[in-house]
Amino acid sequence: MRTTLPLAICLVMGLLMLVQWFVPHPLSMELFRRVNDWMLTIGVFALVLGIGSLIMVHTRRVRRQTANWPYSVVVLLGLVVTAGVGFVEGFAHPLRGLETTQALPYEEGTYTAKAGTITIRDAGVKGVTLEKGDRVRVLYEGGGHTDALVTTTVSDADDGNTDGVVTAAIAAWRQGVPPENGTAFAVIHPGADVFNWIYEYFYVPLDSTMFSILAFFIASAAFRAFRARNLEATLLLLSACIIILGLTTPFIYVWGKVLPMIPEAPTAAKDWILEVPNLAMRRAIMLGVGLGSVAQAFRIIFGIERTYLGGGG
Amino acid sequence: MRERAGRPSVHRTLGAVVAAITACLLVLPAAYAQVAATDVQASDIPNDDGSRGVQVTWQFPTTGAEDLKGFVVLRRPADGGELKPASGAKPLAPKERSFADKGAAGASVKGTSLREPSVPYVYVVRALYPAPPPEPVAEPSPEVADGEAVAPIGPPAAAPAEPGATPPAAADAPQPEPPPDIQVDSSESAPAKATGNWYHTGRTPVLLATILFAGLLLTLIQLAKAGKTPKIRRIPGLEAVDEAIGRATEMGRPILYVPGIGGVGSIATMSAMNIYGHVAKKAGELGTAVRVPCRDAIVMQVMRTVGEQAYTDIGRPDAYRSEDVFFVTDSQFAYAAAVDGIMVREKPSAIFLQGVFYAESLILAETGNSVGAIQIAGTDRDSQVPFFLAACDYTLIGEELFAASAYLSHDIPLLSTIRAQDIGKAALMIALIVGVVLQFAHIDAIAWFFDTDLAR
Amino acid sequence: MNAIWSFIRTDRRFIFLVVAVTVIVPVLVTIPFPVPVSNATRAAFNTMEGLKPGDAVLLSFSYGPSSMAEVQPQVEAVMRHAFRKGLRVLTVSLFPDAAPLGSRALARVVDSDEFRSESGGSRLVEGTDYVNFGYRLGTDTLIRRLGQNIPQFIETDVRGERLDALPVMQGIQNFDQIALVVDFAAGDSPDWWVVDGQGRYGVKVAVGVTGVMVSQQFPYLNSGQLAGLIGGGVGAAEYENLINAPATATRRVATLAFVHLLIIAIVIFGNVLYFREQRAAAEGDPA
Repeated sequence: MRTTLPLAICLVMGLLMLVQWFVPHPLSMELFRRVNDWMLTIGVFALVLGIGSLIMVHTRRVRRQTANWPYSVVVLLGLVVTAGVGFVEGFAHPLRGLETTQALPYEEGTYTAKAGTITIRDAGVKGVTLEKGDRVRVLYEGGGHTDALVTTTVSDADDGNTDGVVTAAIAAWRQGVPPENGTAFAVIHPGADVFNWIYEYFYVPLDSTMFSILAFFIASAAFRAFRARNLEATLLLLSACIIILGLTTPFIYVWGKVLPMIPEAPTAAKDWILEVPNLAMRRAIMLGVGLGSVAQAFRIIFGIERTYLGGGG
Repeated sequence: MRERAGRPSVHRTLGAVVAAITACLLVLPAAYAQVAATDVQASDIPNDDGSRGVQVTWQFPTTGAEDLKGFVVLRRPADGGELKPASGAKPLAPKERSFADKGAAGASVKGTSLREPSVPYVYVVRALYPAPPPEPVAEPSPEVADGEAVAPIGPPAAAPAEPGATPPAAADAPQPEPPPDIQVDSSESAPAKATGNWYHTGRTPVLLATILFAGLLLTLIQLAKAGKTPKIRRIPGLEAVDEAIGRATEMGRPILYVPGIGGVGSIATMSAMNIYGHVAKKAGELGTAVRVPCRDAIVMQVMRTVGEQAYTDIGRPDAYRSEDVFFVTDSQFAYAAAVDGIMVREKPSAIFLQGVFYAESLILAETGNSVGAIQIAGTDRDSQVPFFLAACDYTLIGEELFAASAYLSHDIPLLSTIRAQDIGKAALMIALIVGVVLQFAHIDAIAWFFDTDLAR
Repeated sequence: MNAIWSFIRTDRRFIFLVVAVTVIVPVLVTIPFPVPVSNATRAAFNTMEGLKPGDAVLLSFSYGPSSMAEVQPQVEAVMRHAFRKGLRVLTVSLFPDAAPLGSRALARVVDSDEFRSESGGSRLVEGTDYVNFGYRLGTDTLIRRLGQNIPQFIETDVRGERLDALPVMQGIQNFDQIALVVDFAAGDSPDWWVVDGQGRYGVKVAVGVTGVMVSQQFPYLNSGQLAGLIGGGVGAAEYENLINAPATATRRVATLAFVHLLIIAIVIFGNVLYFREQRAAAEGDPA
């Protein structure tokens, strides 16, 4: 039963989804939609499994103080801080990372909104500076609101006096329609957005750095591997050189000066290698991999391949 | 007698005159008549879920109606109702002879892929012709005495403009409404309804290929069970697996098995799991640890099951350590950094890089090379194969990875599927060559089989 | 001298040092280079150029910070081209990493001087000229769902506005109303778009990919399943050249060029060493 039931499910679902592809009827499309939804749901549960495993493995290392256990502390700290900040900011502020100034009450003529500007006339904005990136929020009776982003820094003193009249250029009102009949407005200054700060100043640089290591590794791999040991290696070496030179603009420029009768030769040679032998090879591999994938899929559907059950082939 | 002989020639002449007058009455108006579309046919668009609607086609002569402006397709419910335009406000071009009416499809049910039942419609194709320009109304000529000038017929000449004055803009004057187009309707089509179809005929080639391949697979498995075991050529990367495990045991260092960054749904990842099962068995027999950092949590669970089963199969379930198979992170380069860290700190003597890899492949392979490990790589991502070839000792390319489980286990049904793949490849090669040759003779028999547009 | 020669021959850190110097110098000293345009990039440009004002183009972001250096300039160049042509721009991220990068590209292009209005803000209005769906779960499943019904599956944009209330989404139900999809990828997503987008629903697809993935996409480009291919940083520079808006990628062409030449030099040097060692071994002299 432990293996029979999963095999039966695999057979039924495999054949069902295979047949589904040939049936365009709405009932078939609905089945497809529901199965896709289940795949998404199951995929999300995988995250729970993964995080559980991560925490268990690293807390065990810290507890036992195995070799390199401080790295485990860093991992756990990163997980807790990043996830925690994300949860807190996500629930606390719908417009994450914003803090609100005191709302200024609207009276007749207190604000005039147009497509590209808002003019605020209120004692509350005497001497106030609206920074680029601030939001002006107009509140409606009943609880709704509309926002616009201030696009240039502007101050009450810009017109020569601090009379409480400020005209700010704004990005866009909702659906391009300026608000009328608001009951109040508020100026919202963007506050600390720790989650995005972590993304911008930790994740992005670290991820980019790991990818950039490839530049060094490609050079060292080229130094070690691109040797003319035999005919095939020599052909590989020459093809690589032609493609690299075809992408190198100084070389193309110098070639054009030295051999002006065939200025396009490096680019043409590069394009030919990519569009003819490379293409042929790619197609051959794609055909082989495609057939292999179909065969493997049939093996799994028909229960010939059972490794995923832990039972081996 | 002479009188009787003259009567037939008078009748003949009279008949010819009547015929000529009749022909003139018939032909002359036809030369100036507007022609209607004919043979209007409406049918459900096939191979869809009903969303593409109804296809309307019609015939129209290519000559004799050069002043045709365009067509409008009208529809009404088959059980009665008013004709309404289906083809939109702008008429269809005169050269059009078909129209796909998506409006005839049933409305989609919100939140699902289902559709409301659609209604059968009847169609009419309306040909539009420009109305003839209105004839100018002639004013009665004034009585003119000899020598008097005759005023020209037409609107009075405009008074000469004063210098500096802006002449009245022509657009300011009210324009007369253009006369409506002449509309000539066809006869009604038979009713047609947009429905979802139960079979996509354009995918028949794929169905045939699937049935053939599946049949081949099952036949070869039966033949293999009856004694005809297929032979597989030597794959150096898989031959070296045992050597790598032995080396690790001799050096007293662990084995690192990296199952790639693909999900469990990926064929390459499943193949990686197969190879891991074999590696776990061999390593378990020799008492060598196998560390498996995973990028996907479900892959991690399956790998643990595979490892547990492998140790059970060799009679050493107690030697299996589940913490050797662990989740790292699902971020690609964080995973690469973590695996690199394991390589540099623990210095494994054998590294297996099997499964789906992307840009991190060279990072992993070069770091493995730098710690002096023997590396066996395998991936179906052909863009990463060159990196593995440059940095690893052995590389499984493409379907060599898929053949691994059959190769290592020597399981007969699995070996048969490898043979089926080879026969499939041979058939494809023959089809390609024959198809290209036939194309020179403009014969599309083979090309039709591979036409992807049909399957849409 | 022998120690230095031995170091050069055996320790890869020598190569790392040379690569570092070759990358850093052109960054500090700007050297302009002409950028010849490849057929693949020109195909992508021509496809976009052939669209009419008001056509809808869907930009799909499937890359992350690691490939940002290569792909982000492509995104900005294509986006700028789309806005210039008056196309309706829809954006979606297939991976969570890609969403902030896509939003950043949108902000940079929309707020650039080229699209500034007289009041100082941008004349491109979110919701009227463009819409950002943000990150959506599902990868290839998402593509299939969008092909069926976009507003049904993505009910609101990243700001929480309902799609059916946005002027930019008027008349757009599924891929039938999308004139072109451009996927910016560093992984498998071009395959998904070709199979599910172009193959299943018939939408025109072009891709912008990292340099290493370029050769992999050529079969699709050659068969017509892809309408264009922008490859790596060089492809981004080519596209900037075509739209006459040199930017980040064009400035990096010098760095790319020098590193390419360095790789050639390293390969030649490696072969010189190899043949030297072969000769020494043949003469019986341990190198």
